[in-house]
Order: sequence, then structure tokens, then C-alpha cells
Amino acid sequence: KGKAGPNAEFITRSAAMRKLQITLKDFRRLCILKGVYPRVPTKPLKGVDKIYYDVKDISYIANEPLLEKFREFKAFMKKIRRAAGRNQFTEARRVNELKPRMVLDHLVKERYPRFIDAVRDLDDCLCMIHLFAALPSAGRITAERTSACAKLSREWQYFVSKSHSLRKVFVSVKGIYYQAEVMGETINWLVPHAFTQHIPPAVDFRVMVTFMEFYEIFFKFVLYKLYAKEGWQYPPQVDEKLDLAGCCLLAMKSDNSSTAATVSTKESKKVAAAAADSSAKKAQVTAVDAKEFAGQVKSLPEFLKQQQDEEDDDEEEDDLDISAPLTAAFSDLQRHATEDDDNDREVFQRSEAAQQDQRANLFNKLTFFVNREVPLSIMQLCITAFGGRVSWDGPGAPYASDDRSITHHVVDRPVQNQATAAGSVAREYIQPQWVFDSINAGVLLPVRLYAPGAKLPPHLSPFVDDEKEGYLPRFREEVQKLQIEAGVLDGSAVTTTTEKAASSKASKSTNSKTTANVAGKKRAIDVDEDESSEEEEEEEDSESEEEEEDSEEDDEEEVDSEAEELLEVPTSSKQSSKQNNSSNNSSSSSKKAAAKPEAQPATTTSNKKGPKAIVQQAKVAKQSEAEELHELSVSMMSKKTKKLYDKMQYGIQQKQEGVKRLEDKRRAVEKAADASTTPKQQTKKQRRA
Amino acid sequence: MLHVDDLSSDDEDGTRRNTVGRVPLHWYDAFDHVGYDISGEKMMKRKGKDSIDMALQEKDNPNASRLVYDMYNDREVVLSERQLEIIRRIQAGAFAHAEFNDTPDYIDYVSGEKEIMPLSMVPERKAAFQPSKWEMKKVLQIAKAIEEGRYVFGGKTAQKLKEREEKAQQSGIYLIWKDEDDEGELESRRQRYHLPAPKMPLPGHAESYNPPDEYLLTPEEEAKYDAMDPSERPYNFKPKKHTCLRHVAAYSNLVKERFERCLDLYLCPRKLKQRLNIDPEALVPKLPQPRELKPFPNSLVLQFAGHEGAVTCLDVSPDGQYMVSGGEDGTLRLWEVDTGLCRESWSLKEFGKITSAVWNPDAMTPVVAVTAGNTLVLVTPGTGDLEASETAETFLSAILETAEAVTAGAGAKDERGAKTGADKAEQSDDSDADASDADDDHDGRQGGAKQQRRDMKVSWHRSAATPASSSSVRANAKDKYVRGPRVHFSLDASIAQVSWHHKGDYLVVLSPLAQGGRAISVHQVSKAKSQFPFAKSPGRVQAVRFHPFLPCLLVVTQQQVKLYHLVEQKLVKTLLSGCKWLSSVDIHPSGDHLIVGSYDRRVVWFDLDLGATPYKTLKFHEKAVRGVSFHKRYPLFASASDDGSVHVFHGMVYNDLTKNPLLVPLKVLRGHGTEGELGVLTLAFHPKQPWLFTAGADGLINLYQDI
Repeated sequence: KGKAGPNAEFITRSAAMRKLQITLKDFRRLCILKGVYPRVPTKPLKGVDKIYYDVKDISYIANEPLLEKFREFKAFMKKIRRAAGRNQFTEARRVNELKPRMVLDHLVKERYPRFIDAVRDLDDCLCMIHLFAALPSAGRITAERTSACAKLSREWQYFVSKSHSLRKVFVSVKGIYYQAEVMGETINWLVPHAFTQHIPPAVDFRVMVTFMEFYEIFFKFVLYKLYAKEGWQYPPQVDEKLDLAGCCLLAMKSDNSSTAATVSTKESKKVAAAAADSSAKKAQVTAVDAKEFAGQVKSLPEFLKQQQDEEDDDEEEDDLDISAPLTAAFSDLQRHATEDDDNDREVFQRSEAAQQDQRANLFNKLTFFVNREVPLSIMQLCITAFGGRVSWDGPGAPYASDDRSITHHVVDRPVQNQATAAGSVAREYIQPQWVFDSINAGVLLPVRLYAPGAKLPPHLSPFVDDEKEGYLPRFREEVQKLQIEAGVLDGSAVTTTTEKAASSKASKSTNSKTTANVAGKKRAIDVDEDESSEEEEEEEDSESEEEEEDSEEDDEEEVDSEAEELLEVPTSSKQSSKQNNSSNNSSSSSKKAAAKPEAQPATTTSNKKGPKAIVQQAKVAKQSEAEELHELSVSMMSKKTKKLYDKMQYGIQQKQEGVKRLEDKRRAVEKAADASTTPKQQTKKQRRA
Repeated sequence: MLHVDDLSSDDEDGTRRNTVGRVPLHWYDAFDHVGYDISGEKMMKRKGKDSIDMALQEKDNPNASRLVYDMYNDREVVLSERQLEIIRRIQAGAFAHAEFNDTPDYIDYVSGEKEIMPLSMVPERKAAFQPSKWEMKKVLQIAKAIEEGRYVFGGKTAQKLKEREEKAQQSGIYLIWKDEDDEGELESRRQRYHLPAPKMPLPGHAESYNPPDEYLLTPEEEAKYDAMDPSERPYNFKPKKHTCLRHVAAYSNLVKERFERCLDLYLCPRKLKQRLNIDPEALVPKLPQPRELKPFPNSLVLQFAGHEGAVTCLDVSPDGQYMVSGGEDGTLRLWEVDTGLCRESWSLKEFGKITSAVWNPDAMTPVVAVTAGNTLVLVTPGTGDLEASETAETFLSAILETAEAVTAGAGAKDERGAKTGADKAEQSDDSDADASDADDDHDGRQGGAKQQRRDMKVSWHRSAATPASSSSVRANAKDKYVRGPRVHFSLDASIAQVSWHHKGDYLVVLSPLAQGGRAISVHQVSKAKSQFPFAKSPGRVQAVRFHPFLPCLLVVTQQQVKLYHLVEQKLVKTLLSGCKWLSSVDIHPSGDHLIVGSYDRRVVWFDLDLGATPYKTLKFHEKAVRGVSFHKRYPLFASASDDGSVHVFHGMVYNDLTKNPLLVPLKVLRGHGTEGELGVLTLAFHPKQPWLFTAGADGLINLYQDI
């Protein structure tokens, strides 16, 4: 008794607090710092209204050195309070200086024993850091904290842009969502729009700050490791002049410590040495700065240019170092691939890798100029992460607005007198959305859609799985066409998806249903596995699944085409179902008619019709039969499964309704647009007349 | 020094003074004096001065400005210079007397001079006038520390702070994760059982700063959105279209949402949920293809039209050549199955609407039992050959004789006798709980001495009804046998149903509205005997059947099915259907299974070996189930419902007791219309072929065959 089962596994919160002998406030803080959360017990033995924790979690807290610190802090507060109560302020001040300090380093390793775990759990941390960087420092939010957060966020962005790991950008009403891929994990984070944030009174900042306490330290270690993996120095050097001038990412620089890449054990030492070096260099630089201070303003752009060039060189070197042989191999392979198309899997993989490379260098040959009304930090991150060059209007800009090399000019103003500004210079004027949409599409989209003052095409979320959603916005279709043309997207896959969508939209024909049935059976019961279990297996599974699906799709297509060939009647399934109904009705009525006077078998009615019609009718009959069979088998389900089935059907129906609503709305909008354009044209015509 | 003005009146000049004290002077208004002087004499009021006097006085008297009238003593007083000064000071808020000193010099009463005598006689400590040893030690310590360079100015606190700073400098950022860690397994249980929090959902198209138009809210939708509870809204923001990036404003709920996420992270109980990712179609049971289970009736082949109004009952002759049907129009019709011809039509309108018509299961005696209104009629349809007609005639001979007797005139007396007999039987049977009767001959048991019979005599009458329309084709030897209704008897209440015993001698008649045990009556045709097997009604009876081979009677009450053993006179089994109101029943030819239809849309399959609960409850009809039926040869059963459809099932029963019956839906037969609330009212399988007859409220009879 008491050794196994829910009683030994779970402990209520009050019992836990009694065991740890701490207050609720301290317990909550510890929970946040240690990453302990309540669990749903297998059996709520102490009642359903209680909060249960895992016993192991609580015993971990009980052995936590922080707990001792908390007690120390309690004693410290007693001292302070006593001194203050006796008006011994000097004493209070003296004691206050000995305030116990918490060290949270050990928690990082304890909560995330593997680095990959840490990377996986980065989302919330990043969101919080970016939010705090944007918050005003007041009350519990100290200025040090906000500036530290700003620094961390910038270091992260620097890493993302320099490692080219940014994948998607989405500007929403809440802020800007970014998605990066680090170590094969997708990381999403939200950066608030650069305005003063409204702080509602209901928000308890004690909780948020406790989270931040951990996140700050945790993120520092993560960044250190990430930088170390790339062989960069951490923290990156920040050029203060440039920083003050407002160039966010370009003010940073971190040297490649060329030797620090491979051996991990030596890594830390080396990096420390590098840091020492860098500090020495910094001192030198400041000395030099003092000398050059007078001629600074003029020399700044040049200096920047140099830096930029250096950086570019670095990057190029990087490419050369790491991927030169690889790329050579790839190009060779690609040539092979183009030569013999029927090469299978390997080629596919290669092309995929190449594609990714291509995506990462989307803006490689482009030079941007960002107008001053466009948020610079966003554009810098997005453009540099995809290999482009950026300049802006303001101090510290690498090149001026009338530079000849500029290919794209990002403008967010209604319409300006472009004729004078850009008449002589050959460049594209675009709105910032072009950058985001191009990144998400992986293709440079046509610029004319995004001309300044033009009505922008909708900015679509790159995170939506179209197939799952069931609804494809019109603009997405256009983008997909472009992607197929550019070879970014596999054409066949898209066509199948659209076909699928069309078929699912168009009808509830039994044919599709039966195929779905088959697919469902093959998939069988696919239970969400715990993510922390081996991913490799999952990946393999998914691959194999994909293959299976592909083959299935192929089969379907074949079958369909065959059927169509047989029938030679290209009718939509809606029509066919209608025909089905009508023919059914007619046949039944004919039966009646035939039956009343004399007994006559009903099947002879269709004799007069042609062979095509017979085939058609047979197909229709088959369909209706299958439909009826399905209905019958549904009626044979047990009560429980029927309930589940009905629920699922309800869900599917809701989804379909949602999709239908969207489609209807779109149709209405398009109609309205047409209606508004046609009278204009008419009036124009009239005027002409 | 306090200055005392001589303000007191005592030592004033010797003028007369009023001695009344401080009393309100209006007390003296009525008198001509204002009080008394010290000697007790009245102080007279002087004559009041008028304004002229006053003016004159002001002119004449140089002291007029400082003249004050003393009402009390009734005199005029001239204020002195000093008195005026006091008044002025008081008005200014100062001390009244100019001489008053509010800050007098301090007088040191206890002197500061050193006294000679000490207060305490304790001598001074030695330590007070010797240098401190401890201090010397401390100084030496510090001196040594300074010499050695380890002294920190600022004391212990500063030292601690210094130590801490050193520590902080040492612990900076370092490489926590080694590369080899990543390959290793998670060592602790805590990490293995860690449930990572689900990630925040990623934004959809609607959250875009420039969403597609179809995602924007129309005014109606917006009103609906505003009316909704915040927790029910599809998004926690309103989709809004911004024409360009610079129009996008800050999102006011951002901090709140992040805070809520924080709360979720540390307060929300977590659980690993096995989410089923099933294709819904995978749940649908895989049934064998109907075409593998052929033959079964699947298409409408023939319709028998002729009845006016609903057809309530039909039955197929045991040889399968003929079919009789009765309807609400009161006609009984005989049809030829092969051709659909209406052979005969007898009108039983005089008795009422026809409720049931059943062929005698013995093929050699073509007799049809028909119930109409309160009456049971036996009809000889005249099918079959000459021999069959003869056997039918002999079968009915006993009844015909009694009917003969009744018509001869002794009927009234007999009837009376029968009635009294019946009453007696009832009186004597009240003590019996439930009982039944079986014919001794039937089972070969002769131990019926203990059994009390509830015999009764019903008055059989010869029917005079003539065929409404009769084909005159058959003018042969058979004509000597009368075709049509032959004999009938009536009960007190209307009869709902009649059913034959499988041997064809007994009839069970159900009149559900009859009093007490008279609802169910059993009649032996060959001996013209009748009895009420039940003393008490077993509840509202819906249907009655004989067991196919056991001496048992199946009684369907409103919610239960009861199986009575007729010989042992006891209740064998009660089956709980779980339905609210049962309608119909049929027994499988094997006798071990039965299906029951109910008005609440269910069809229930009972396995009699399994217990009181159903083997399977099927709910596929959309309206009340009116009739259910098993096929006698093929593994088929069917149900008819008010929704106008008939469902045909494959119902395979295995001899192996461990194997459950296999039920497969085969076909939904539609072809009947609905009249009001009624659809298909009854159905019957062909005894030899896999054909199904159904009759509906639309007045049609359909024949479905397997094609």
C-alpha cells in the first residue's frame, strides 16, 4: 500500500506545500523556475477539485538548492524589516547589500538535458524576450531587464539572419510571426509591432518576471551554444556608433574563430580566449576612435562599407569553406539529373537540397533600399537572412538612395513623384509586403502587384496547411502556379491537391467516399505519439506514408482516367448524381406503370437506350448501390461507435460548412467587384460615345 | 509681574449699584425700576433719552465718543484711555495688558554648580582609565592584515560583496551542453515523463494585416461576433484589412495573451492524450457484400391493386400459390401470386374493418382465419384440389354442427348456458395466479386432472355472406363446396390479431381491449372448443404467437415479451426489450430466436438462449416499425415501417451454439407511399421463394423478388 498507483504517483498541491514548508507564492515561483506543472492524475483520489503534481517533481523541488536560497531570503527580509522598524537605516542598507542572490544556471541543464530539447522549447522563450524588449520599463519591469531582452533578441536575430535559417514571415494584426529552422526544428516567434504596448491592469507581472528570470539565463546559454556550433564568438561585438545610428543588425559582428568548430571539449576555452582577445581589440578600437573622432562623420559610411565587405567576404568564405566541394558535387549531380530524368530517389533528394539552398539565397543578387517609413529592423532581418543587401535612409547607411546598384526600393507611402525620383534610375519600387510574400513563396513574385499605392494582394498566412484547411484562397492558387513555373513546388503534388479539393467540394459522390474509405483503412489508427520518443522512426514512418499516399493517388488517377476513357462522358459528378436520381425515379415510375396492368420485369425499360447510356446507367446503379450499402453498414454500427462516427461527421460537416461559407463570401465579393467595375466601364463607354 | 487693572466694581467710588445679579433685564421691562441697590432701595429707570437728546448730548459733551451706556446700572460711563487701549488690544488678538510678558527669563532653580557630595559611592572601573587590550589586539590584527595585503576596507559586508563579485565573474556563460549529451538517453524518470506544453497555434489567413476579403466580417457577422461570449468566438481578434503596412497599429491584447500563456504553462494540468486520428469511414463495419448473400428480394416486380383504403393484413398460402389480403374497406381478397389476378373478393363489412387474415399452415386444409371488428371468421377460399376442399370441409365440420344447432333455434339457451359456464369458470379461477391450458391431445399428456379448465363456449354462427365478386369460370365439381366465409363468432371487444398453431388445429385470438384474462383465447377448430388460458391479463398485450414446436405461447406486452408454457402453466421467460412500445413479433423457424418491432423505431433481436436482454437492437427506420417477419426457409428477415420503407436483412442462425447469429442489412425496399402517418403496415415472406409481400396504407400490395 502506498507503493504504487495514483496515490504514490501524485500529490496534491497543499500536501506538496506542506512537505516543502513554503508558501504558495514561493511554491509558484519554484514551479515556474523548475518547469514543474500540475498533471491530470489517472485517478483523482483526493477529489476532482484538487490540483495534483507528480511526486517526483515535488521531490526534485525538495532537493533544490534554490529552496535553501528562498529560506535565506526569508531570513534576510526579516533582518531588513527589523532594522527598518527600529529606524536603523544604515543597518538596513548594510544588510540590503548582502541580499542573497539566486543562481539559475543548473536549472537550464536540469530542465533541458539535451540541447535539442532546449531548441524545441524555444518558442515561448523567444516570444517573451521579444515582448519584454518592447515593453516600457515601469514597476516590476526594470530598465536593465528590457535592455537585456533587447540585446538578446538582437543577438538571436543576428544568428537567424547570418545562419540563413529564417523560413517564413507573416505580418499579422498581433505582430510579426517568424519561423526559423534550427537544427531541424521549426521555431516560431512573435515580435510585437514597434509601438508602445498597452499594459492591462489585470496582468500580474510578478509571474511574467519570474518567467523572464529563467528565460534570460536559459536563452543566453542557448545562444552561446548556437554561436559555438557555428564557430562564432559570443557575445557578438556591437559597434556602438552604428548601434546609436540605428542600424540594428548591421551594427553587430562576431568573428569566426576558425579553429573552434570541431572539438567540442576545447570549444569553451577557445571561445573564452577569443573573448579576451576581442576585449583587447575593443580597447584598441576605442583608442583609435578617440583619435578619429573629429573626422568621424565623414568616414563612417566608408567604415561601414568596409565592414560590410568584410562580412560579405566572410560569408563567401564560409560558403567556400563548407560547401564548396558539396556544391560542386551537387552541380555535378544535377547535371546528371538533367541528363537522365528517370533517375530515382537520390536525384530527388539532391534537388530538394538544392532547392533549399536556392530558397536561402532568394535575394542573393538583389540590393534593397528601405525608405524611412518602413520598419528597418524587420526588413534587415528578412533581407539579410535571404542573402540580400540592405540600405536605408539615415546615418550609417551603407550606400545612398541614389546608388546605381539598388534593384529594389521598398516604399510604404501612397504615391510619390516617381518620375523625378526614379526616372533615371532603373529599379523596382515595391511595398514591404513583396518581401514577405516572396519569402513565403520561395519565389520572387511579380513586382507590379506590389507597386506603391497599388491595391495589395492579400497577405496569406504561410502556416496554413491548405489541404487540411480545405479552402484555397484565390491568391494562393496564383502563387502556386508561379511556384510550379519556378520549379519550387512539385507540380504533380499541387494538381492532385487541387483535384482532391475540387472533388471534395463538388460532390459527395460515393466514388470518392469509397476511396477515402480505403485510404482510411490503410492509415488505420494513427495515434499521436509522444514527441520526445525517437523522431527518426517517425520520420521514416512519415516518409513511407508519403510514399504510400503517392502511390495511392497515382492509382486513383489511373482508375479515374480509365473510367473516363471508358465512359467518354466528361460530366461532373454533381450532374451524374442528378442523373442518377432522375433515372432512379423514372425507372421506379416505369416499374409502377409496368407493374399495374401486368406483371412485367422492370429491367427491360432501358432497352431502347444506346450502349453508352447503358454503361452510364450501370455506373450510376453501382454508385447508388454502394451508397446504399454504406448507409446500411452505418445503420449496423454499435451505439458507441455510432456516436463517435456522428461526432466526426459533425466535425467534417462543420469544416465543410466553414469552407462553403468562405467560398460563398468570396463569390459575393467577386460579384460585387465585377458589378462595381462594369458600371464604370459602361460610363466610360458612354462618355466615349 | 502680573498687572491687575482695577476692573472690579467693589472698590469703586461710592455710587449706587444694582444688586440683582446677572438676570435678563427684560424681566424688569414691566417695572419702572431695574433692580435694587445695596440698601434695598429700588433703582428707578431714568427717563429714556430720545434721539434729539442724544444728538444734543453728542454736540455738547466732549466725551461723547467714549461714552458707554450701562444698562444694568442705568448710567452712562466714560471709558478711560487705558480701557480703550485694552479694547483695542483685545480686538487685535494680543494680550489684553500691554505689560504682560509672555516670554519671561528662565530662572534656573536647580543650580549648575558642582556639588561636593557624590550621588553614588561606587569607584571607577580600572578599565575606564587603562588602554583596551581587545582594541590593541584588533589593531594588531588589522595592522597585520594590512601588511599582508588582505585587509578589505569597509568591513565584513564589503568582504562578502567582494567574494561574491569574484564568484559572479567566474561564473559567466559557458557551454552547458556537450555534444555527446545529445546522443544519450534521458536518464531521469522526471525527464522521461515530461509532458511538453503544446505549442501556441499558428495564425491563419484571418489574422493577416491584409487578409483575403472573404475572411473579413460582414456587418451581420460582426454584430454576431460582438454578441458572442469571448470564449466562444472563433478568433480572439477582429479580422481587419489594412491597405498598407504603415497603417498597422499595436495590438492591445498582446501582453494579456502572453500572460495567459504563461499562466497556462505553469498552472494548467497536463495530460498525455491519445488523440485518435481515425478516418471516420474506418469505423463503419465492413459487411459482406449483399450480392454474396443472394437470393433476397431486391426489386419490385408486381403490385396488387384493388383495395380501397389501407391494406392491413396479408398472408400467403402454404403452397405459395395464393395470397389473401384484408383492408380497411372490409373486403377480403384472394390473389393469384403468379399473375396478380384478384381471384375472389368477399365483403366482411358487416363485421367491421379487417385486422388480420391468416392461412392455416396445413397445406391440405385451405382455411383462412380472418378477424374483422369483434368477429373471427373462418373462410374456405376454395383453393387447392378437390381433396383439399374436402379436408377443409371435414375440418370445419364440428364447428359447422354447433353453428347448425345455433341456427336451429337453441342458440339463445346455449348461449346463456355458455355464459353462465364462463362466469363460473372465472369465479373459480380467481385464485389462480396465472394459468394456461393446453390441449391434452396435443401433447399426449393426460395428467390434466389438476388443471382447471377455463372452457367456454362461443357461439359459432354460419356466415351468410356471399362473394362480392366471384369468377364464374370454375364451374366444376368443386362448386359443391362453398367458398367464402363459413362460420364466425364474436367476442365482447374488438379482435386485433389471430394466429394459427403450426399444426393447424388451434387458433389463438387476441382482443387486447377485453377485460381481465379474456384478452387471449385459444380455440380448437376440429372440436369446436374454446378456452381463456389466462385468469389475469399479463398487461396490455400487443401480439400473441404459438411457439413453432414447443407447447409455449409467446405474449408480447407493451415493453416485454413473455413466454408461457401451456402444459406446465407457468411463465418460462420474460424478455426485456428496452423499447417503449412494442408492436409486432416473429419467431425464427428454429424456435431459438425472435425479432420484435417497436413503435419507437427499433427492431430487437432476441436469442432465447442468451438471457433476458436483446442480442442486438437495430435502429435504422425513421418511423415506427409496424411489422417484422422471418422467412421460413431462407436466412432472411424483414421489417416494415411507417416511413414507407422495408428493410431486408440477412439473418443467419448457426447450429453451433457458440456462434452468434450473423445480421447483415441487404436492401432497403421503397415503393410504398405514406398516407398520413402510416406507411407500410404489414409484410409476409413467400413460404418457398425469397419473395416478399408488403402491404401499405396506400392500398397497394407489392411483391418484391430477387432479380
